[in-house]
Amino acid sequence: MNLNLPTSIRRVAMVLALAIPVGAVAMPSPVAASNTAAEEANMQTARDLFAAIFTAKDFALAERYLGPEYIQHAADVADGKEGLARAIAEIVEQVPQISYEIKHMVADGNMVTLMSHLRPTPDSRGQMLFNIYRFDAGKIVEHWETIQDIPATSANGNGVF
Amino acid sequence: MPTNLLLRSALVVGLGALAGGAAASIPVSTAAVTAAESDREIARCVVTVFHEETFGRKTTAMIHHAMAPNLIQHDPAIEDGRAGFLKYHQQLLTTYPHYSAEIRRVTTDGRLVTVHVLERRNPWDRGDVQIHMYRYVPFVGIAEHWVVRNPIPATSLNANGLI
Repeated sequence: MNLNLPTSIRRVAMVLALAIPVGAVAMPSPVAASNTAAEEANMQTARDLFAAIFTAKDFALAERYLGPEYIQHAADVADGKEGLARAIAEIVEQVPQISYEIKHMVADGNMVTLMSHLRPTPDSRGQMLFNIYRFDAGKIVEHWETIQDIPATSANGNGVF
Repeated sequence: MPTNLLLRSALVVGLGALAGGAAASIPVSTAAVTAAESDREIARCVVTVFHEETFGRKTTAMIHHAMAPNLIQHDPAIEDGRAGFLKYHQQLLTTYPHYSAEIRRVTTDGRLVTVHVLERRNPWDRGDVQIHMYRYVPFVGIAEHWVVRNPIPATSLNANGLI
């Protein structure tokens, strides 16, 4: 019954020990994440919020995915639902042709992290964006982000995503 | 591999499992810990220890032990591979001897691990908020790295802080 904890500790030790002679190991193909049903639902809600903000540009639609409070950490957006409403209005006024592509998503309990490519205008190189959403009972209640212009050059050939 | 690192890794996993099991009953029953949950906690543990050791404690131990030599690097500032990461790490810490980094939150699905960090290159800097993402491959280690860095602006439209 209580053997699982020592087992996981041993597995970590094994992982760390085996990570040492990795020189000859080929990179295996990506393993699919194993998410709970609630995590899958949270990911869909995050996708729906993105579509409401950047495609529909419709605050009434976006609000359906928010909980009773919406704590904002992005510095250019005011707190709460009113802040999001204003941000969507600014998108409509200033960058109506904005588009996005979600590149990666990670769901973990009540958190969802997304990495996306944001293009304010169709011909711009655009920005790389991480968003972290915290959920309560399936609704989004808190948001953090980091955003950075995609540079013209890179020290590697892999692209930023 | 320094033994204390291994012990701390084990401790992180142990604490994670305890936190997960504590909701059910005390003393902890771990019967409900599935293989998928265990894999997820291992990924969380390895990457958290990696990031803390590399940018918090500023050592290269975990770059050597937990990073694949053929790491795929997406940060435009860093060259490919473990060698590129080591070079970046050395340059960063040589240029900024008082560099500090604090991990604020970690999310993972067992494959990708994101680390939300407050970085200060100099103690007097307002700092950068970064979100790193690492792909973790069992029995290989950290195989891929992405990051978005965002300088903390002087002002904000809300009072909640960027991180």
